[in-house]
Amino acid sequence: MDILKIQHISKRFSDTVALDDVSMSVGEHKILGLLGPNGAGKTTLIRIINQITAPDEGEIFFRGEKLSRKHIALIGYLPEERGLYRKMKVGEQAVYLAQLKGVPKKEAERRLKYWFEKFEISSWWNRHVEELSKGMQQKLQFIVTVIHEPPFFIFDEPFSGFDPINANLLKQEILHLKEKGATIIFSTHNMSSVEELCDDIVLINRSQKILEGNIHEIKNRFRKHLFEVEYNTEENKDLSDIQTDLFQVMQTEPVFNHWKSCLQLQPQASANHLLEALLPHVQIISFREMLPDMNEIFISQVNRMGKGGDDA
Amino acid sequence: MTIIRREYNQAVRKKSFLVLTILGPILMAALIVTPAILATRSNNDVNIAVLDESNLFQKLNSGNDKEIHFKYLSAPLNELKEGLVEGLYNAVLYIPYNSTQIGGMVYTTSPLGSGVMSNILAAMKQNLTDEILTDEFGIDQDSLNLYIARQTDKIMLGQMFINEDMSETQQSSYVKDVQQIMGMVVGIIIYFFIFMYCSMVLRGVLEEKSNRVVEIIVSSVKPVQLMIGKIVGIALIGITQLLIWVVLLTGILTICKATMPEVFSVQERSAIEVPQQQAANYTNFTTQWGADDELSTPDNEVVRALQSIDYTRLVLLFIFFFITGYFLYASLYAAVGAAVDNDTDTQQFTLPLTIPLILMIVVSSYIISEPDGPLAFWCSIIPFTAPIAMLIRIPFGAAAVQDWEILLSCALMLIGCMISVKAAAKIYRTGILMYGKKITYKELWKWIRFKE
Repeated sequence: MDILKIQHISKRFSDTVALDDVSMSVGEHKILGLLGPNGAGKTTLIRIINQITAPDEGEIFFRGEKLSRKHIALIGYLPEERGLYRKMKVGEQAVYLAQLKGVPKKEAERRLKYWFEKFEISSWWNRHVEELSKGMQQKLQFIVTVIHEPPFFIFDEPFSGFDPINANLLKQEILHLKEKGATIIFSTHNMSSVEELCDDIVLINRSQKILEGNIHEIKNRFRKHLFEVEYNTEENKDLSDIQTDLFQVMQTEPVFNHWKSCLQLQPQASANHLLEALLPHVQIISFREMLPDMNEIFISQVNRMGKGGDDA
Repeated sequence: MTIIRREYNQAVRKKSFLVLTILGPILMAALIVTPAILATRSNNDVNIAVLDESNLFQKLNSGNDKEIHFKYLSAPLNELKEGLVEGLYNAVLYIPYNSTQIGGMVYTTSPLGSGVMSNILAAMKQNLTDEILTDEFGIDQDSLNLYIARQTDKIMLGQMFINEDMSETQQSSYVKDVQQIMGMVVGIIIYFFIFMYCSMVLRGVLEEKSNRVVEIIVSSVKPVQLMIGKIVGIALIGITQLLIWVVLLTGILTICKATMPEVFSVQERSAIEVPQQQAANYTNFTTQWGADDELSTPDNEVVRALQSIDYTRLVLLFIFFFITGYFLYASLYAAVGAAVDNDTDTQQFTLPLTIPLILMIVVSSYIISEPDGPLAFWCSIIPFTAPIAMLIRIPFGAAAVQDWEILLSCALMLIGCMISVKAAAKIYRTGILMYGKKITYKELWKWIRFKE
């Protein structure tokens, strides 16, 4: 079942169209990557979901109900442009922000203790926010986002400002939230984290949705039938010597004491066919299909549109 | 509610708040007490060496002024002057022998307290009067006084003031003085308070916007709630501060009154700027002639004038106009804070908001001199200027401000308040998440008219 359904949302600012008839849905217990270049309309869409701004057209349904103020408490939002009151004490501020989300004070303090210990920042409770390093502020920000334990999260660029260790900690937490049954919209430019975390993606460019679907399905859709083979040959024979219509050798290079080649397979053929063709000639060390990574897909899709191509 | 509490707690705990809250009344008390103390100190024990070569003033008596002591010395003037420099006495009164002119010269090293000169003159006149009475008429002062008092006590004198509409009141010029001072003080206080707390709102909004915490908050509550919460929270701070001030000020003044009563008897007299000469004459008059008419003492006039002001009305209207005026301006300041990105722009947009307030300070002197004039009327009707204008006029009582004017002003104030809060809310909602864009007035107008 879809926890969030967005139907035909449009939003115009005085002289620009921020979102143009965007529809999408977010499946329960999934992590959805909301991708798109800067200025594509991601933040506007996120703000509309958070009811910070209202759409000009279109409707949003949360668990089948029309989105309204009461759903605010069910959403945890980590904005891209984030900040805290610099002059306020860390603990106080966290309690305040939790209270705004409707968590009673005592309960907020209890939960914050847990999170502060988990993130090893307990000693900072009575310090002022301005004394915190950027990474610590980000941790605090993450904590206040999850403190009211909503079933639905929106993280806008959650990894910015984190060192690799803390980024990993955060990644684990996000996966942990998912395990506990949360649904997450995750907006980022960091494609490797998309591949690690996301189940589905939506790609927005120039205020329009240009790509949507399961991440594996999308990767498959954009596969180029490229295979990478590492092998040993007798008497230094090359793969290009094999006479076949099945594949073309794109590139070959030596690796240590063997070879690595990149092969372009005919679209109709399967990996098995390729293996069959190769086996008599070479000794295979490793063999894998080179699926496009999200980075490539992202760039190719965005560029395709940029060149005035058709709308995907 | 949570927002209100945070705003309140944050500001209350700030050091600047504490400093201002405690220092404010102390400064104010100091402002009242110091001149009084200075006035008494200079009056304290003025020793005057008298060298009378004319032999006309041998019985100089300082009358009721116990601080002035005349000491007759018979050394040459130059020696007396040396003594003055050495600090043996505060002044030397030199009365030379002169057949055509009677008079003296007072030598001092530092200025004498106000009133000392006139007291010396009064003492000299009194001395001469006594001489004349005994020498030429053979009567002594006391029996003359008794006789005069017996006769004059029968005289009764009342005072009536006729207004333009021919109605009569018992106001005197003191009443008007006191009312003017009251009006000015109240006007300045409300100006100060509105201005101070509005800039607090402005700074708060700017802070939230510039450190981007606002997006987290508006994802939990409506922007309008955030704005109202901030304004109300700061309003409560204002009220708290006001209350603390009132309590502390009365406390300090009571303590001062208890410890230094003599300071305050002087202070009350000088508070109404009665010319010292006149005051001295009055006191001389009342003691010397035994006339003890309650009506004619300036102290009592002031008390009566102070009592003539309707305080419950003044306080209630002060609170009303402070709250509405504050809301009017604070919401607009919040809107400005939300719309702009940097300090330069802030000034550009706050200037039009500051003008009516500053204008009022300029105009206030005209209102004070003519509290029932057309300028006063229009200023107290327009919501932007009403809080100050109206409060300046209130102490003048019903003669200057009709009840319907107050009601009209209050009603317009409430309407103005609501319109400004609504308009501000619209600007605020749009502006608060807008970054890096230079805002024009045209654009603001579009935001106001923008319907959701």
